[in-house]
Amino acid sequence: MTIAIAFGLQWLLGFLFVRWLWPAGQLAGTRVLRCSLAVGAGAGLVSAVWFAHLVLLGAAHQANVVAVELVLLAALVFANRRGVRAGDVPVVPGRERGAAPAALALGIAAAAALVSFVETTLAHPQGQIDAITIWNARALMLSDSGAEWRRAFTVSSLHHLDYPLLVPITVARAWQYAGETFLAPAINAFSFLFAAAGVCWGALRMLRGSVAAFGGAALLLACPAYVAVAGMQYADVPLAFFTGATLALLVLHARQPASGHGLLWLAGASLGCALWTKNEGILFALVVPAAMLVLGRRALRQTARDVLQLALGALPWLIALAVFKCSLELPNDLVAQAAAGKVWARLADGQRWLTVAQRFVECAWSLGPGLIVAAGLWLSARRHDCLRLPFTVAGLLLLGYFATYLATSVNLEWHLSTSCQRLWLQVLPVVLLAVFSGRAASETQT
Amino acid sequence: MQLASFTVPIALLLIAATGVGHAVHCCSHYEAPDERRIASEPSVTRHQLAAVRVELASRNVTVVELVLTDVDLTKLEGAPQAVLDVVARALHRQLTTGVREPPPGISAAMMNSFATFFLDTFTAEQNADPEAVRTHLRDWWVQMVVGMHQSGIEYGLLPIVVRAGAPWVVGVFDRGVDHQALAQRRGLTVVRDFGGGVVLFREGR
Repeated sequence: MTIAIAFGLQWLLGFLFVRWLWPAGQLAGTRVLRCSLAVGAGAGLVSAVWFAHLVLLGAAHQANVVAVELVLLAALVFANRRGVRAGDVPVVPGRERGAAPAALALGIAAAAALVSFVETTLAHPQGQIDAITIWNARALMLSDSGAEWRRAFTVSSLHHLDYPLLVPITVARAWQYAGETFLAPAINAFSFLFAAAGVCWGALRMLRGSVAAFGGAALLLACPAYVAVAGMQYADVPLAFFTGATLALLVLHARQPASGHGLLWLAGASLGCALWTKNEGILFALVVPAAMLVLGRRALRQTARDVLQLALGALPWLIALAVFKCSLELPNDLVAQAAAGKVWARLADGQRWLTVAQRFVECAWSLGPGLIVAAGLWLSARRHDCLRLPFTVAGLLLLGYFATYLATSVNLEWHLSTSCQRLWLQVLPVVLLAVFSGRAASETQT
Repeated sequence: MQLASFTVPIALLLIAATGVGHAVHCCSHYEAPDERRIASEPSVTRHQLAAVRVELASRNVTVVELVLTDVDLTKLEGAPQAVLDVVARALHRQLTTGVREPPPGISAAMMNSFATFFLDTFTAEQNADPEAVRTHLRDWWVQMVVGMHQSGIEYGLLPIVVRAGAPWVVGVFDRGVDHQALAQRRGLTVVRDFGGGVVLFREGR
């Protein structure tokens, strides 16, 4: 029961936050999108509040945390008092030819994902390798250490001490409410798994219609690696959620620039949460504004203003990350390897380029050959007007990951075999947003 | 035009089939957490070490040393031995001739990872000797297994942290191991035997 209260309050905070920033206007058709975004926004809010307690008060005592969360809840309720006005956010008409089989495909994929996730969770209730040595281990240290919370970052046996804290704090907070139970990390993983599909569905529904929405969400939930990694309780799925949510909000804003800054601020918040989830989020935070500026170079002043609003939305989590990284002076293994020298020699090694390229292709294929073929078929039928921003962001992110593999000195084969597929998962919702946003040639003509 | 009208339904069919295939695979390979051996699964470990954590917390102990049952590196018998032999032969061939023929069940990427590690770690002479390759592979393998075993137990003890040289010692042994002999040998006092191979020691007598 208390675990339901913990996650329920978290979601409610996120929901009210999203509703507060959502542009005034027609809300029909956006319910699934906003409810899904609330999962990430809630995690971002409560983890920031918890971390602020650690830094400012020296410990996150439950009574203090609950009090602040309730004050925040009251403030968001007050901020949401404005009524819903009839307005101008475009929604594609509901009935569409071919929607029923697409909905059936999503239903089957969702049921299969549910079964797979439950099986994985029952077999490994505490998660697997990285969950045990990084994410849930950090959560245990944070939830039990009280004023000694800095111990969580001094234990050499815990790996990657510099990894950001959204996932560990979300789990630690739930344990504070309900006691230590495997349900906390499992519910967290489950929420992000399905919420990312909800974001894909909601955004594509608004952008392109029901068939594309069902298809995109179904492909995400049918991806075996995506569901398996969620069941392993890794932070890659929450990061995938935030990359997808950021791009979804940005493209929705681009469709309706007159709707104010709300969607941009929400996109910024999502981008900030990506930063606060995994180190790869830092690359994402650099790539998104870069892609916006490149694609929006013809209206550079407006694009620069949009980037500024995006940064404003991300600011709370950017500050949290800066405080975390600077105050604890945590080393990063990849940066240390690159700084140790011989980077140019590694970059000039043609065999490394070949190895990384080969593994990138293999890992993409391993996401599911059937799914790759399905995406190809979809694109062949509906490739007109695909969104350029998600494609550009995904491409730049993958280039960044490629360069990181080339530059670091760790055993390349091991590095690739333990991470490459998960990097693909991080960009998967972004790629799906791009692939499924296309329309058929006949639709373009009409 | 006819083909184009079929592409989306085929794509949807492929998507649904992939999802169902994965779910069936998960169901057919499901294994419940093993409760027979400690540290076989972290959830079991945390449950079994709960009493140790409570005991240590009541004594305000936050750091312990960990002692595990010694693993005899020479005792790899039966199926693991056969697997080791096959992998070692393939690895030696790859190291000496460059021929990449991973044995069944081992991916090419994994074999390449082994080969890179061996090339970085051992001399060319050592990598040319099949027996040396086999020994190094066995040692590495066992170290990896021990490392995973230890990671599971360290997770089970959190927020109690494991650090070598700490005055409090947690022993996690296979059932039947004589922990008194260890205490005698290292000058430790048995504080509490929790059963199931879990023992808390304190340095000194």
